[in-house]
Amino acid sequence: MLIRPSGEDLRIIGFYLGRIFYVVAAFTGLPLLWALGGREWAPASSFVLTIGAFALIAAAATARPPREKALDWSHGMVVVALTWLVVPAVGSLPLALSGHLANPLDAYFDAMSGLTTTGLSLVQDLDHLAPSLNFWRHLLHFLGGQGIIIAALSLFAGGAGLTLYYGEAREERILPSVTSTARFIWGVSLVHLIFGVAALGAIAHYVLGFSPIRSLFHGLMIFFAGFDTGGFAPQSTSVGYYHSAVFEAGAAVLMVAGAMSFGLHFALWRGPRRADTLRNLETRTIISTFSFCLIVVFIGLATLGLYDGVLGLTRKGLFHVLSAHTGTGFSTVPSSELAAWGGLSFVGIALAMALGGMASSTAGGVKSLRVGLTLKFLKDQIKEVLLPENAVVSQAYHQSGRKRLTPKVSQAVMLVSLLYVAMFLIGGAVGMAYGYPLQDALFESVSAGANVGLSVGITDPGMPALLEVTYLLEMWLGRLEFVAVFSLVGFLLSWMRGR
Amino acid sequence: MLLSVRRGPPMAEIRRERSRWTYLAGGLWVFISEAVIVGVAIALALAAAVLVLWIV
Repeated sequence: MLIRPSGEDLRIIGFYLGRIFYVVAAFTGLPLLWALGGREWAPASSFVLTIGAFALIAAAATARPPREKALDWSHGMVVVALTWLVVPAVGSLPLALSGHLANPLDAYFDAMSGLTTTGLSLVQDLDHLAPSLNFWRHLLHFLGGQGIIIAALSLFAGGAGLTLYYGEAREERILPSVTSTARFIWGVSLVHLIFGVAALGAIAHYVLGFSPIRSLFHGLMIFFAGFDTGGFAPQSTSVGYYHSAVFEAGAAVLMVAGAMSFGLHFALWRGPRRADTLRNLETRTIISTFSFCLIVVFIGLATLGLYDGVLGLTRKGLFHVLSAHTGTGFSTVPSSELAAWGGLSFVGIALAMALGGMASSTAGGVKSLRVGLTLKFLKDQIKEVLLPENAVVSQAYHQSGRKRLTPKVSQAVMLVSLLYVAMFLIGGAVGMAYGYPLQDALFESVSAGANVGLSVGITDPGMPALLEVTYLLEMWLGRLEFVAVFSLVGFLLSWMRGR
Repeated sequence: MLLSVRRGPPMAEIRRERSRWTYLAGGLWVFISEAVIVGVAIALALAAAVLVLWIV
């Protein structure tokens, strides 16, 4: 029997939602300041409206505070799922009012793509979008990549932290408390922001000859999109705009940094046990899958004969496999050229996108730890079949120390991995129903569901609305790794049918 | 969340180690490490591309 949520349940959920919206409203002040500084009056007024909308919803949600502020598991999951649904809706206001998007659904798609660090975009005439609006799109990457909840937890926590933290698809508590972990994640990001923007800005200024202000702008935008494995870019031709191998290498460093788990960042930061990270199952898995995908793409591209010479093949192949595997979605070729990557090169890129980066990173996809554990489980099963009946197969693996692969963990890992595969296939089927070829439909679906953002051209302002909604849901489900969304569905069912 | 929950080291250990590094110096070290990883990846990818082109 389903139990209907009480008024107190709703007040608890509203209370925490409201606090998170206040934090997001504060962040929206940054593009407002940018717009005022740049005398962009129309975007400035749309940001004022957005801040007002966030504050109004927050005030309404916290109007009747709960008696007990303890947040249980189901409350936390519902708060997380709703946060990731409502923030892009309100955050899409400046985009919808800009005139660069065909309708409010397109604006919501773009904001959801930004927040979930996907990078698929429906903005028209991106090259003439106001800088403050471009900053807002990239700031959404930063907020979503770090985790909106992480942002809120850095400022407030109490007993609510743990369930919200795990709900946002973070498995690893790096430091003893959730608040200190959240602050560490922001510390890592801010330090990378300083070095990343300085490096990219210097390349833009000294190598590409950009003016200092323009170098800073492009450095900042590419940092947000690269470190948070988002994939938006200030120009419609993505990173291809810069025509620079050095700039691509700089962006690649940030993509690698973003796809590394914050636990690995912490291990590198602490120092004493750096070598130990190479023994981790997750590190070994991502090195193996990345190498495999790269070789497959190289063979595919060499067979197609699209790029001449070793340098051309390495530059295009390596950058795109790195972009796909880290879940970033930067591209140096147009969508039409990417669509021509058939055969093995398609398999390699699609596989890299689906596998994704490390768990507890800013990347999407199935995640390397799950892939590693699935392969380990399969290997153990085969061993058990082949060895004598009384032989004992070790089910231990190394991941920041020796761990045991219990049946419960195996089941959970396989379940989430299967859900990802099912989601990719359903998205692909919807694309095929609209007449897109299997290869293109599957590519775009994997790109949306794994929060990557590479496109073969299906995602454009003229795409069917149902397909747009499908990709929207894939981005949401993929970013939250299903559990929080399923909890919200369960909560709504209990509300409607419960007693 | 569905993976095994991994906990960090105890707070006392963190406090002991905190004196040995600063955020900025540690961050620079991590940033350089990531640049080295990309450098190694480029070198290995070049070697792999030569091999693939030679075979294909």
